[in-house]
Amino acid sequence: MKKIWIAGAVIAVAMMTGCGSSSNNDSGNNDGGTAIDLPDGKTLIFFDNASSEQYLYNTDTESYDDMNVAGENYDMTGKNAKLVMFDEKIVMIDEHFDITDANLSYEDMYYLGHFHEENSVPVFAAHNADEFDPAVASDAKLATIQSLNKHLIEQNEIKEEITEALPSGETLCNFFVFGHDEEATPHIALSTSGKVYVFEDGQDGLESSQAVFALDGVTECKENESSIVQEDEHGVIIFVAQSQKLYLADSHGEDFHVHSTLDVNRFLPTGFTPTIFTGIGEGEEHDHDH
Amino acid sequence: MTTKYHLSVGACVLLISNFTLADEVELEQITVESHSIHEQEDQVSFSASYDTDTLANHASGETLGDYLSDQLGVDSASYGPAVGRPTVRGMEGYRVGIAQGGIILNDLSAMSQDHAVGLNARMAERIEMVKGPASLLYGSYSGGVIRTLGEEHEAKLPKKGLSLDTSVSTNSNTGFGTTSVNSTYAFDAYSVNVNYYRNEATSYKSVGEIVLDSDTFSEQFHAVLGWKISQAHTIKFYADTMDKEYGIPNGTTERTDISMEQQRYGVVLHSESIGKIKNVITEYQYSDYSHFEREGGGYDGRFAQEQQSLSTQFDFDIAESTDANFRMEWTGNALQVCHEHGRCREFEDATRTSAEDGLSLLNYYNATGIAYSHGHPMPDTEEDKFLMALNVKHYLGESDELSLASNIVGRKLSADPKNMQETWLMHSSVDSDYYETDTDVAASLSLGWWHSWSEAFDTQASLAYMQRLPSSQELFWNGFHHATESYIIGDRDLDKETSINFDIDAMYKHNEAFSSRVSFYYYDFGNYIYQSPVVDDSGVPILDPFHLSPVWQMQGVAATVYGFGIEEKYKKNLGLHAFIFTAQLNFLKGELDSGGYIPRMSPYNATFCVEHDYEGLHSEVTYRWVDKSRNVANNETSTDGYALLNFTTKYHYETH
Repeated sequence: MKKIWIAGAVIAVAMMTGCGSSSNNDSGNNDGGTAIDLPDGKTLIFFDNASSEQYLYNTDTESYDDMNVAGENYDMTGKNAKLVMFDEKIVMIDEHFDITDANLSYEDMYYLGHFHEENSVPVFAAHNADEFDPAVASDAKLATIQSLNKHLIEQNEIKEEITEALPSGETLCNFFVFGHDEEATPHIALSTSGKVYVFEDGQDGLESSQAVFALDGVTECKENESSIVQEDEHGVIIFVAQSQKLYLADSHGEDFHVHSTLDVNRFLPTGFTPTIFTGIGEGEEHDHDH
Repeated sequence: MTTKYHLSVGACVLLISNFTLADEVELEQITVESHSIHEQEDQVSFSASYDTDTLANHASGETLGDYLSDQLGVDSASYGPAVGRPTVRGMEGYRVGIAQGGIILNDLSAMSQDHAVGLNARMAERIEMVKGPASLLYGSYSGGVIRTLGEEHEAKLPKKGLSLDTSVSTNSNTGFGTTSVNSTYAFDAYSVNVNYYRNEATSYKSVGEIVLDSDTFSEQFHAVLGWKISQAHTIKFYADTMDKEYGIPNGTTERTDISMEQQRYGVVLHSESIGKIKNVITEYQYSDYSHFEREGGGYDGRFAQEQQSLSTQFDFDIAESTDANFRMEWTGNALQVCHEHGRCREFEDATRTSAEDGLSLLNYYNATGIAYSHGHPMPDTEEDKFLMALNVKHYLGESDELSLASNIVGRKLSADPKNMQETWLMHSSVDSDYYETDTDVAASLSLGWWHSWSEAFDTQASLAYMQRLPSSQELFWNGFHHATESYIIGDRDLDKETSINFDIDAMYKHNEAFSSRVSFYYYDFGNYIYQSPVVDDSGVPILDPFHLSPVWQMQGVAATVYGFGIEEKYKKNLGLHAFIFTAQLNFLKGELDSGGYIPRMSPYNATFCVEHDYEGLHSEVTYRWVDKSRNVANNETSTDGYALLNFTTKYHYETH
């Protein structure tokens, strides 16, 4: 009997929805209703440095929005950039900027974005780079640029430390460091060959704390075609453009491992192939029973 | 000793209507009959056949294990009310065969404690337990074979006319209940049988507390078309579809459940005789089994097995007092397993790049000595199996029957790791021939002697040498196991399981009202395949690096399983009231030859049951005592003893 009901329901749904999808390319859900196994409470921004396409994905509503809206501060149409996460802010900076060459100025950035809540709904807002021009910028904005530079310098120091810790033959592609105050601070390092190393502070600097694991489908990683962002206090989300996958790598008191893998084309518009991503938000812990 | 007492009172109302529009309708004399399963069995040497209606009347639940657990030496390996696989004389999982007719059931219940048996016991017309030499006809199972028989397995067409059996019951503990409808129509040389079953229950309560995720739903539809081709030949076509959905009561914070479905299609040709061979049964069956494992709504696991089977069996006379049963069968099956969080709605082929195969697995092997994996737990596998078996029986007058049976099983096992994530493939430097195709052969031999010492006293004994080919899961599984929250490592180089099995059963009828039964068994395994906890040099259990779960290694070791059971039964009629008192004791021990015990063996237990029948009312009170686990394996958690008191009453209404 249940089978008959199911068959009836399937026919009814097919009749109501018709054939094909009605979603356009500006916003939508690209997974045909299948639940996406990403942590709730996250907003992810994906950017394709080749096409300048930029999409925002909300893990709560499981929907995406095209961010390249003409007239908006965060419109990246025709621009190339890389993303920096800093103090719960997203900074889109020039793709060629290198902190070892000089400090970052407002001319090296496109926008600084953040979220504020309107009726308990996170709303994305961005400040144009011109707002940080010392000629017009407020003290607070100038302080932000100063903090950003400090952050970039610190990150570069950590990068050099991790590079030294990598075994010979391996080159650092990307990295992420959990908190700074804890005794055992995991350093997640992604090599250019797609392997993930986990280091912790030891007596002689960083020491490997577990077996190295590889990201499935990755043989080549480039810094400007990969990203690592924090998922929650136990894990990170790694993105590599080569595989077009998100890897949720976490540790529940044990080794970091790839908990799950998600093809980005399951939830982003067809044909969009991001090169980098970032994300902010608390992010609920997913179930760690497995 | 800590003993917990649980009081469980269940009340079932069973309404059965049965009418038959047959050629002749006879009014029968009203009689009071007991519904004890011990009264209904059709006991012949080494096999017992039970009427399913009677088992259902007596069962405390709806699983096959529930239906048979009152049999001496039989227990139900339960994992919530939806899961109950029979264990027989300490043998469980792959050591007990479950067959539909002669074909071993296409399910994965032997693989894991949380996988339900892929049938609803209520749908069978009869259930047979086959031990000793006769069981070799269906495979090599130390615990014997449990056969469920449907209408398609009857050589004759049903009685002409229309018959309808309906049954509705409800359960006071869980609400809802079961519905079954079984209808047959036979005319001329044709028959149609339609059998429908549905069972639904919410989570049950124990000592006033709701056991979360112990809900269950099952629905099955079975149809058989029969055609009597000639006086000697009847053909029956059947189709079956089944759905089960049930919660897994475990420690996880999110709901865990299993959604299972199975379809079977087949044809059975019954031939009364062809030349000198008799009772020829030839069957082809195709079946498709699949289940999803979900947690928090995410599809974290999927198991699927497609199976085809072609078999034939027949009897023939060798001499005046000697006859034989022959059976041969080809089975082909393909098994697929997916375990990846939220990604197991469909099976997928993994990405292949120029990256080194099995790199992550190798790194763990080098770092820990164990080739840990966090990918899919096993490759896709395909098995082609051929069984040939002969059971020769020689009768010495009315008092003795000697049986000699043997079988040979050949298997080709292929593994295709196309589903496995590249980085978790078995690395060639760990095991270079891990995915290579294997062919293997197992042979078993069994000798049985049934003797009637007097009209009151019968014994039967069997001695067997058994070989069992390890399952693909025992060989290949390498990963986390949800049901036991452990990390299990298969052994690709496992040898066949071998054992010498001795069973002896004695039945003594003191008088018409009082009878006794004793069984003793001793199974000496040269190679017993089981899961053993992995420990370090200090004896401390090793935990896997991903989940900190204990690591269990599949291995084959020398071991002994032995035990005995006693059953005493007393009947008393007082007017229209019929009483049956049954007492059972079961003692079982599993020892490793190297010292220590086999894990997960049933503790000692005793059951006392009083049944009462009055016209259509059947009531029974059962008290079951289970001892604490005394023979605990190294690093196995001990369980406390407990006692269970159960009361059920059912009303049976029948009309003709």
